[in-house]
Amino acid sequence: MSPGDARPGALPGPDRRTFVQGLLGVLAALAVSPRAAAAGDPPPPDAAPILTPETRASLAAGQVRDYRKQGDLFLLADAGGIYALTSICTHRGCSVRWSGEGFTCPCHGSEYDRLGAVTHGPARLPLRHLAVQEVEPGGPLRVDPAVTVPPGTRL
Amino acid sequence: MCASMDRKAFLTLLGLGGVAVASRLSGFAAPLGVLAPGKPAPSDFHFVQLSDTHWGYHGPANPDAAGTLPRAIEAVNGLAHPPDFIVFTGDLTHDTDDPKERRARMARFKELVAGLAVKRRYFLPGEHDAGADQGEAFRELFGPTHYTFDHGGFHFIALDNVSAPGSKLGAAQLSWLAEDLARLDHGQPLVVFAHRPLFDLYPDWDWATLDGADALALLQPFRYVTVFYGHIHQQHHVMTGHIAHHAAASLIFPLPAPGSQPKRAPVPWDPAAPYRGLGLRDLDARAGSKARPAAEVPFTDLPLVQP
Repeated sequence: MSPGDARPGALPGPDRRTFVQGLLGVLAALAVSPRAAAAGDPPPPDAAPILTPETRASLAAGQVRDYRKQGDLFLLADAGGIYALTSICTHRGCSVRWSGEGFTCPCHGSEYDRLGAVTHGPARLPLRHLAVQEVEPGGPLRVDPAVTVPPGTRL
Repeated sequence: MCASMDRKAFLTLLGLGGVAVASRLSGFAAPLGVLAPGKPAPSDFHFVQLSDTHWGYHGPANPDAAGTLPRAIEAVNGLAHPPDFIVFTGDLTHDTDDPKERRARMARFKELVAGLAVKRRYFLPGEHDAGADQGEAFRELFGPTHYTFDHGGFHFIALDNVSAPGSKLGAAQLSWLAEDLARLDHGQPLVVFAHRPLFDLYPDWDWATLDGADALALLQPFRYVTVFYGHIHQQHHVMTGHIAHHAAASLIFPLPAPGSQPKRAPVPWDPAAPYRGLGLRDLDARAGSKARPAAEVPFTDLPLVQP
């Protein structure tokens, strides 16, 4: 995938096997380390960290990955690095979609730019930025929807 | 068609001058199934689906927003034979940021539907009811947002694909569904209620459930499954494999066909044809018997006025 070629419906998700392996990895990680406390808004009830098949090297600036099904989030990269945004609209909690330039909410028409800032209401609050970590140096990326980080945070 | 009532009579009684439109499409009224052996013989019955009443809506798409629900209640009470129960498939109320006003709308809605002659009523939330508070007010006023019940040889399952953030059922509810289905014979006829479609009808307009495919996969082993939903404010009929999905008209304003225009927006109110596109649905459930081994759920969509 080259920068900027992401389109709705064309975003590759992790395949099932990778995802299951990822889940096992997350479960193993949870067993040894207590979960970080959530910051900011309460996370959705199902929120659990997800392990993606992406690495720091595999995601180039401009790319977008759709992990809404696995964990209500998008993983993105810009010139500054990798970051993650919740896919849950701050207006009524619907699942926003990648438009090619930003995010749109199909429920009531809210729009956000690729950094999650509101560009069109009715939403008033930006999309939350989520904590992204490498499981090990150079290894797969883990995103925790329960942990909010400042918008400028990059991996 | 349900032969147990005279629709023309009650519509005439209401002064609406309309006649019912039969929506028993070939292919959709196909045999739903036979009873699993050893089950008690079911009796035929009928029930009514109302959807998307949006109590509290104010806007040009329905200048008689406060009068439309009472009109529908009158229509149900006018049925020659009362239905066994009524199900409301979500968006009972229109959304508001104010938690007090949200509860006031729900309370007023409850008062109004208390005027229904049918006392068994089932409620599902829509995203307009539950999106702002994850279903908190709905649960206070109407109880659980997902549940099951059995009637006349059918197992009914009400699913909530609006309360969890992210336009989905969520892992917890999917586990609950799997557990419920695990104890059933695959020949057990199922009827599923939901607000949003469980399949990807038109995701750009929020006409989808993000993890709906997971629910359909759980339902797949059952030979006879029918899903009745709302949300899209129009009748719509689709098969995903052997599972039938039927959307009902709303009682506030119609929406255009999926993707038929750039933006989803209400079909404008036509003063020359008020209430056009609004209506309710009568469902005639027949779980099957020795004499008639095939079970089915044919239905009739009843417009509030003649289209």
